[in-house]
Amino acid sequence: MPTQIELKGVTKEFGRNVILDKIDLKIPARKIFGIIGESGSGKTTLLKTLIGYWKPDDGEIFYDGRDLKRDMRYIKQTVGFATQDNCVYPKLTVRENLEYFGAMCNVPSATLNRNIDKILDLVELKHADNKLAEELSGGMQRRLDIACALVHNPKILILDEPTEDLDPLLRRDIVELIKKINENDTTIIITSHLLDETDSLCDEIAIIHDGKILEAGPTDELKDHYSKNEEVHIVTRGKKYKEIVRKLNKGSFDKAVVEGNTLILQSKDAEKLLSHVLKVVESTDRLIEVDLKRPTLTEVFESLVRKARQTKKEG
Amino acid sequence: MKIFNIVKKDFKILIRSKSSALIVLFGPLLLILLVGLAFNTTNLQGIKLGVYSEGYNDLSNSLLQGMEDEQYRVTRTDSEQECRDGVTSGVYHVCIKIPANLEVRNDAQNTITFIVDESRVNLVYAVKGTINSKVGEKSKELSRGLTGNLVGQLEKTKQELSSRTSAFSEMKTTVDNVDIKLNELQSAINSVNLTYNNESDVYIGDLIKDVASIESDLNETAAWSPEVEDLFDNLKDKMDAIDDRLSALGGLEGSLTGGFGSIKEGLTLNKQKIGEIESSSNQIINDINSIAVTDVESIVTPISTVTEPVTASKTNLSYLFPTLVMMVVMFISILLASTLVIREKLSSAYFRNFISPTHGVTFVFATFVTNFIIVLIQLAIVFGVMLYFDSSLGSLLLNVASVLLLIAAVFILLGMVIGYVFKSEETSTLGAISVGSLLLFFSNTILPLEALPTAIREIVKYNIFVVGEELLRKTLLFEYGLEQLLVPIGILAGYVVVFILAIALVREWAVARYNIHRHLKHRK
Repeated sequence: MPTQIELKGVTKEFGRNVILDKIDLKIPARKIFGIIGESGSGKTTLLKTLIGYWKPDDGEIFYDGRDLKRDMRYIKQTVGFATQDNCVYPKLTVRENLEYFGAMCNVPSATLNRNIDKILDLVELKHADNKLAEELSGGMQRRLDIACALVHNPKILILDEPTEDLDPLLRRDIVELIKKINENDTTIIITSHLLDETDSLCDEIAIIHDGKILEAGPTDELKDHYSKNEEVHIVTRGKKYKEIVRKLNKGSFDKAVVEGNTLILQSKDAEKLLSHVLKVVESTDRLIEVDLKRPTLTEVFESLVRKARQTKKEG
Repeated sequence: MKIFNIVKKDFKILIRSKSSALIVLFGPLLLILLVGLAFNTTNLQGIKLGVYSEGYNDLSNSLLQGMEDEQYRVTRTDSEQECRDGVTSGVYHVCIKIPANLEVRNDAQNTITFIVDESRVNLVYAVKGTINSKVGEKSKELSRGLTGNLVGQLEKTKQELSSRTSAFSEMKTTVDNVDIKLNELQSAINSVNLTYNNESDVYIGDLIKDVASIESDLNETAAWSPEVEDLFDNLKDKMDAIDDRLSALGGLEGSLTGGFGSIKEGLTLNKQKIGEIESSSNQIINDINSIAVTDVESIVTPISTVTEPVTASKTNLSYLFPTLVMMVVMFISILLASTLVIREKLSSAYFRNFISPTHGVTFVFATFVTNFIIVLIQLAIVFGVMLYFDSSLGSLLLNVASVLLLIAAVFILLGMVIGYVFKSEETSTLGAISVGSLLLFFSNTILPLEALPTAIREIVKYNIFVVGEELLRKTLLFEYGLEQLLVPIGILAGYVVVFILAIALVREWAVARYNIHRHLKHRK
């Protein structure tokens, strides 16, 4: 997949605080790219530096090979940005906001009207297009903000914590919306500290900590690299977990632990283990629940951050 | 308790915001300091007077000299029109028209005319007051001289009459003596028996007849008879009686001669005294006649003054209109522009504008245009009302509108600078009001600029409010064309350029500062 955005040694400081420290990053085109990190790790600063809101103190940023410093106008026309703050005018209606920001993004009026209708359908705000922004619910406001970021058909959409402060249902809606947008070949860069959400959404991720990129790459590769075990979770009626473990081949799993009512078996090949476990349980006890747990992004993240903290402590 | 906590919180917020603390705590102090420095004087300074007279004389010259001694700058113009034009153009504060050969006489024209620009109300009253007091001093001096003349003459008359009091006594004594003498004469005359009775008193005709009869008898008889004897005796008695009476008359003549002599002497003396008194009276009358001014009004007010406006008669509202419009334009423009800028800056949508491909200049210009339109609408309403009252303004509308657009542009740009400088709406509003008040305070609206020390006045004359007001007054009241107002227009145009540059600089700085502030707040 071709690289759409490339950061080379990007550094940003506020006073004596180094917020971004020599960031090198490649973001592929037409993918969903996640930037994860703790609060205050530099995620938002990185995004705002990406769009030229902050000028890097050092380093270079390229969009499709174009230098951000020299071709700001092209980049602004190419990128859409939605922040955590819902950057809309509360006293304008949904449509008026879209019309205004479309005009600011040089969209011709004929195209703009078509775009607005399409985007309102996409973000499911058609029914509310004459409502004032301040009268919308939190989820609708977030969708309006994303709509405003999309009004000029950007190639790249940057979303800063798009599901922040939303309830689980609204969060799911936004995730679905992001996926729909990406289906139109729009590159999406998203930051979040909700790792499960990022895990399910992003094709590639970068983990940022203290202004430094700890690791970046395809999500699955990172998980494979940083988490060696998969898990099979079993709950039976008789709780005859000792007997079940004894009947299993010793080499088929690495470790067995009982947490509460659940037997957890760790293995490098959980799929193979699962079929074996099911046969043993059938002859020993009555199965109530079974689940196959793959390694999570949380594990990867925790592992990397722990390592970074350790290095910092030692250094 | 809740109130205390809220107050404590408000104070913390205020003090932790450096700009608001600066404005709230030091703003008023700074204002008081500036005002104290500026208005620490009681005099009007550098008042420029244009003077015109068809003929100057000692009185008018001394009056003008008195004004020059009071630090007025007096310029004698060649014509009345030049003098009047000087007032409309602001070269002179007042034009003084002095009658030819100003002189205090009964029939003289002593009225000095002040031609003033009524639109500068406070200066007019101040200048009129001081010049009137100067003229009043001269007038008082003249009045004192004239009254002194009268009082002197009265004193002289009194002395003259006092010196003549002895003459009156002497005349009285003389008259008394004459009276006595006349009484004596009357007694003397009364003492002489001048009664004459035809029956009993001697009758001269009878004597003649008797003498004729005796002569006849003597001729006839040629003899002395007893009857003749008796006749002669009778005649002799009668002759004696006549002799006695004539003797008495002779005595009376002597008395009369003496008495009349005394009376004549007394009368001669009195005539002499009356002559002296007549001479004194004539002298007094001549002296009184020599007083040139006897007209009561002329003595009380030897020099009177009248004031006339330099323009045709207008209402007070007309004169105040430029100032009112300036105040409206200034406060609306500054407050509106600063509020719009700060609100936009604080709006969450500001970020989206910032990252849009639209250039920052476009947003600045759009904000300016928004303000401009709002101010124009408000001015249109104000002028609509004004036109309703004074339709003659219609002919001036093009010039006035051009001037107002320029003035509004300057104030809007100033308001935008304020909006970009401050970080919160409260401080921005405070800043806008402070700047507006400062401009207003150092203008002619509250006190005339001429009341300021020269050094401050030299700076303050470039005050946007002062320049703008001058432009408006000249276009509205004196109907100047724009080509005659190139200097103030140039000054305002200069302000436009300066403020545009300031916005370019301040916006860049303020946006960076604001973004960092917001970013750091976000990270916390």
